[in-house]
Amino acid sequence: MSTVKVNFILNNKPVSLEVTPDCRVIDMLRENLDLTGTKMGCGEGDCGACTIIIDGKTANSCLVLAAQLDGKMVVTIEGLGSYDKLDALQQAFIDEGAVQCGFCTPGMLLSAKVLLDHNPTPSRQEIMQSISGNLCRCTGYAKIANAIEKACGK
Amino acid sequence: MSYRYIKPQTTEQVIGVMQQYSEHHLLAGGTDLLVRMKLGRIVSGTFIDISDLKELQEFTVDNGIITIGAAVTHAQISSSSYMKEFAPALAAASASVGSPQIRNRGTIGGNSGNASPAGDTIPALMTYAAVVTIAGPQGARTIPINEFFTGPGRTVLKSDEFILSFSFSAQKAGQGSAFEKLGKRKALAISIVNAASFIAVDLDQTVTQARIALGSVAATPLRITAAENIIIGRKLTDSVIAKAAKTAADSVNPIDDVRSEADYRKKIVAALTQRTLKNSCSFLGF
Amino acid sequence: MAELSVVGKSVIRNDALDKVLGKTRYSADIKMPNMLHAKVLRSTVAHAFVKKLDVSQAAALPGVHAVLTAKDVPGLNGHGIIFKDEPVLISDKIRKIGDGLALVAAETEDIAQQALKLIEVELEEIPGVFDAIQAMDQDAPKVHGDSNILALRKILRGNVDEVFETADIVVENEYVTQMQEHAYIEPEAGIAYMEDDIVVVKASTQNTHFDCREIARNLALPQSRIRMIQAPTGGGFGGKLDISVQIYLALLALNTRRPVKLVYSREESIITSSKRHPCVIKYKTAADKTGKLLAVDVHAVADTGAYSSYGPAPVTRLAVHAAGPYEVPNVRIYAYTVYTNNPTAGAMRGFGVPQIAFAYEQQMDMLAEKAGISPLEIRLRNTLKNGSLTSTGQVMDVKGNIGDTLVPAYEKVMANKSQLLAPYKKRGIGMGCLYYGIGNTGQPNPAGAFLDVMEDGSAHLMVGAADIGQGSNTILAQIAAEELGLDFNDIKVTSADTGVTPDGGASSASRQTYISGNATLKAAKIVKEILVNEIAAWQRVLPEAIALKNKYVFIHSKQTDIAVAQLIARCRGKGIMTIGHGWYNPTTEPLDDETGQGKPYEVYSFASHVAEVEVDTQTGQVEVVRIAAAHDVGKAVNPLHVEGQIEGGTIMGVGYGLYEEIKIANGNIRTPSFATYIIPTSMDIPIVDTIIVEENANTGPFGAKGLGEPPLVAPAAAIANAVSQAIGVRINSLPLTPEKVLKALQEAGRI
Repeated sequence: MSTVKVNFILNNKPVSLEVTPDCRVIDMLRENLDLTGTKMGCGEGDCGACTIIIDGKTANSCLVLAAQLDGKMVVTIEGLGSYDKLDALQQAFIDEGAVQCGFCTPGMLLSAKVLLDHNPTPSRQEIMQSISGNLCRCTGYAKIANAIEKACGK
Repeated sequence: MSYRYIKPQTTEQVIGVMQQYSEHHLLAGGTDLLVRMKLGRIVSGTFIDISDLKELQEFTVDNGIITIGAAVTHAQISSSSYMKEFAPALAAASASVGSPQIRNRGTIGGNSGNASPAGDTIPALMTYAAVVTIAGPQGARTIPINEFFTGPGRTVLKSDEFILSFSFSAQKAGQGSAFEKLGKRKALAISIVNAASFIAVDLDQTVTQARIALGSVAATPLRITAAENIIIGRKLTDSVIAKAAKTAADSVNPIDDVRSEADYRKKIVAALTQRTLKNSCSFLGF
Repeated sequence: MAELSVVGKSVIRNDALDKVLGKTRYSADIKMPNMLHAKVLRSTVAHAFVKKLDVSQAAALPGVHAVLTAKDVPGLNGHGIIFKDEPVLISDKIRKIGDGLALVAAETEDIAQQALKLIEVELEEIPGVFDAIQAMDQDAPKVHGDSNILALRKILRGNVDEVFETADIVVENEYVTQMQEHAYIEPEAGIAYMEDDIVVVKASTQNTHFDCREIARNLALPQSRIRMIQAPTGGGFGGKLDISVQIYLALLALNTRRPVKLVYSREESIITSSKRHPCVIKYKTAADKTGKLLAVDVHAVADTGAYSSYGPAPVTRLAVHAAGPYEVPNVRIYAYTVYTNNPTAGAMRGFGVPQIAFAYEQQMDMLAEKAGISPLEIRLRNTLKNGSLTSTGQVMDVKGNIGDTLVPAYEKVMANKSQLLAPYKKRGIGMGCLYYGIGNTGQPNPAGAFLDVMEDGSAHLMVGAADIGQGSNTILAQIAAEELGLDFNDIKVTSADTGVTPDGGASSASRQTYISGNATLKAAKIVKEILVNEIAAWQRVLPEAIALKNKYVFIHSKQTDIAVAQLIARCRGKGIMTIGHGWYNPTTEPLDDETGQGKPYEVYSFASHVAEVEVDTQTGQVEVVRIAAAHDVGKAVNPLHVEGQIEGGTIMGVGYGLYEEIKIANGNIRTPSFATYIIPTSMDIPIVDTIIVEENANTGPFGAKGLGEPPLVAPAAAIANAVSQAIGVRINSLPLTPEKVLKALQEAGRI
C-alpha cells in the first residue's frame, strides 16, 4: 500500500510522518508515536475515550484518518499538562474525585478543555453538554462536572 | 486490499478522481465512513478527502436564500445564531446529532449522502423544501431534497457525482418551523423517530403553506402530504394540529429494529408531529 | 475511639496524577520488544459440534508464529470460577456464540486477522435452547450433561402455605428482568511474556490469584511458575472476574517464547464477557391488615447462559436477599440457575439483588396500598432491626434500621419537589430499600496483606486486592497509615500481583474495604505492637499509654519529639524487623442445602434510594429528576470515594432501570456496540443527592463495612415505584422503556 506524508503540529511540536491511507489518527498516535494517553474504547465514535483536539475542536481520533491531519494543530492529553505543571482542569479532576478507573479521563479532560477555551464561565448544563460525547461508567458524571466548575473558578 | 488517499483542491478535481477510481469513498467528516471501515464493510478503495474544499464550506445568505455547502459541519450550523433564527428546525436537528465530537466533524452533506432513514438533518431540510445542488461531469444540477433519496443508504447520486450544497428560503415573518427527535437517550442517540414541520400563515393566521417530514419511519425520510393538506387553508387550532398529527401517524408504516418497535414508532409520530407544529406556532406569536 | 487522622479523610487517590496526565499504562498501552499480536477465532453459531478444525494454512502464513487449538492446552481444558465447565478452546461442542476455537499469534494484528480467515472450520449445528424456562423442560436440548438446571437454591422457614390461606392481604406478581452489560470503558486486554521459566501475564482483571490458579491448571505448571499481575484496569463491575485474555496469552507466550499482546474489540468484549442474569421472578407476599409482612413465596429462574461462571452465586445472593431488608417470619424461596445457549451470565455489581429488589420493592408498595398505609410507613413497620431474624435465620446484630437511610432520603426528595412544566407530563416519587451482605455468601473468602515498614518511616503495603478504579489501593493505604501513625503518602501500595502480594480474593461482593481492610489492619497491628513495645521499654511506660499519630509518638496523649520513623529505625537498628502480615476471613456459616438456613455474611450494609421521576405520557419516556441515595457504609474511610461509588452506582442503576438491555436473538447479541447498547451519558443523569450514614460495624476496620454494589441495587426499584405513582400503572419488566410505558398507559385506558 502507498503511504501518505503528513505534516502537522502535535502538542506544539511539528511532526512529519508517513502513514498508510487507512491509518486512523488513534492508530498513529498510539502505535507510531507511542502516545497511549489517547484510549480506544469502541472505535466507532460512541464513547469518546479517544477524544483529541484538532484545530481547537474536539474529535474522536478513531473517526479521523491520519492523512487528514496535514496542516492541522493537534492536542492530545500528553500536551495538556505535565508532572511539573498540571492544567487547572487536571488538578481539579484530582481534587474533586473525578477520576476512578481513569480510562475516560484523558478524553473527558480534552472535551472540558475545549469548553473552557471557548466559554470560561459555562453553566452546569453547558458543562454536561460538552462532555456528552464522553462515556464514563464509574463516576456518574457529577464529580466530573464539579471538577470542571472548579477549574473555571466557580 | 489496498487504500489510496487523495485530497483534491477543486470540485473538478474531485470529479476527475471519482471517475479515475471507481471504488472511491468521499471523506468529509468521516463519522460514518470510518465506522464502516472499522466494521469491515469497506476494505479497500480511494478516500477522496473533501473536508477542506473551499467550495463546500460555503455558508451564505443571498436574497433570503440560505446556501449551505456540503462540508459545513453540524456544529457550525447548530451554533450559528443566524440559523437558530432563520432555520430553527435545521439548527435544532444539527444540534441533536451524535455528540460534540461528532458534530464538530460530521457534515450536512454527509448526513444526506449517507441516506440513513434516521438522518436528523434530512426532515429539517425537507420541511424547508431544500434544493440539493449536485456536482457532476456535466456541471451542476439541482434536485428537490424529497426526490434525492431512493432507499436506505441510496440516493440519486451517480458514481461521479457529489453534493455541493443545499439551498432554501430563510424563515420569514409569518412562518415557523421546528424539529423534534426521540432517541433512546439525550446524547449520542440515533433517532427512533424524528420530525420537522414548517408552516406559513397569512395575516388572519390561516395556514398557506405546510410541510411535515418524518425520519426513521420508512426506508427514507419522507414528507407527509396527507397531514400537510389537513393544515393548509385552516387555522392552527389544537384540534387541527391533533388531526394532522393523527393523520401523520396513520400515514406511516415503520418497522421493528434494534432501537424500537413499529407500533411504538407509529404512536409517537403523532406526539412528535404535534410538538413540531406547536413549536412552529411559537414563531407566529400565538 | 481517639480522633482519626487519615481514615475518614478524603485523601487524594494515589493513582489520580498519572491518570489525568494520560501516563497510566493500561494493558493495551504496553509495548514490549519482539512482541507478537494475538487474535481469537470465535464461533458465530450458538450450538454445534466441531467436525473439523484445520489450522495448517493459517500456521503456514508468513508472520504467524503460533496457531493453537484445544489439543495444545497442556493441562485441563476448562476454567470457571465455580465449575470448570468452560473450555479454554473448544474441542468438540460449541455452546455459545463467541466460544474460542483457535488462537493465533503473529507479527502484526493484520497478519493475525488474516490467519483467522485461513482456519478451516466445519460444524454440525444442533438445536439450541435460548429461554431459561424452556430449558428446564426435560425435552429441551441440553447445554451440558443431562439437565440444564445447574443449581437450585432453596430458603425455607416457617409455614408459608398456612399463612397464605388466612392472610388479610396477598399480593402476587411476575417480574421479568433483562440482561445487563457491565460496559466498562476499557475492553479486556493483556500481555504475557516469559521471564526465565516463569510465565508472566499482565492483564485487566479483578482477581489475579484466581487467574493464576486457572492458568496453572490449564498449562499444567505449578502456580509458582505463573506470575499474574493486574494491569491498571479501566473498570470491572464484576465483568472482569471471569477469565478473558489471561489463559490465551499464557498459552501463546509459553508456546512462542515471545511477548504476546491481546486486546479485545468492543464487540468482542460485549459478546464474550459475562452479564447480569436475566430473571423471571414469581413473587407472592402475605401481610396482615396493618401491613405487617407474614410470608413471601418466591420462585425465580435465572438464565446463566452457556457456562456457569459465577452463575449460582448471584442466584444464591438473590435468594438470600429476596425478602429485602424486612422481617418476614415465613419464607419459601426457590431460585434456579439454568443453562441456555445464550451469552454467559455471571457476576455484575449487585450480584442478583437488583433483580429481586425490583420485585420485592414493588410488592411493598402494592401491599401498602392494600393496607391503606404509605410506602414509607410499610417499610418502617417491617424493617429488620437488632435481634431480627433474616430469612436464613441469622440474628441481626445492628445498631439501626432501614429508617436511618430511608427517612433522610425521603425528606431530601420531598424538600426539593419541583414543578411540572407540561400538562402531558406526570411526576411521581418512589423508594427502593435494601440490605446487602458484605463478602461471599456463606463461603470462606479470606484476603491477606503484607506490610514492610521501613527505617525512614515509609512503608510498603502488599495486598492481593485489585484496584479496578474503585480505589482500594487508596483505602487500604489509609487504614495502614492510620494504624501506624503515618501519613497517607508514606504508604506505597503494590496490589494484585501473585509474584509479590498475598491472595486478596476477588474485588467483588463489596468486600475489599472490609476484608482486605481488616487484613491490612491486622498486618499494621503487628508492626504497631513491635513499635509500641519498643517505645514502652525505652521510655519506661506501659504500652497502653502509647499512641502513634501524625508521624509522632504520643505518650499519655501528649506528643513527644520522637518520630515514628525514628522508632522504626531504632527497632531495625536492634535487629527487630518491622514487618507484618495479616489475613482476614469473615465468620460465616454455609447455607444448609435443603433449608438455606445459615449465617451467610458477617456484616450488612443498608441503603435507601428515593427517586422522583417525570413521565411523558405522550411518548412514554421516563426522566429521573432526582435520586436521594442514603447509604449506611459504616465508617466512611474516604468520604469522597464513598460519594463516587454512590453516584456511579446509582447512575448505572438508572441505566438498568431505563435503557440498558442486551438484546439476544437465538443466542446472538443484537446490541454488541455502544451505539446499540445504551448507557447513560452526562445528559441523561438525575441530580444524585448522596447521604452518608455511618453506623460503624464492630468487626470492620475502623468500623467500615462495604459499599461497591449497594448503590446499583435500589434505583430500578425506586424508579419503578415512582413511575407507578406518576401514572397509576405498574410495569413489571425491566428496563422501563418508553415502549412499555406507553403500552401500559394505553392498556389501562389512561391515554
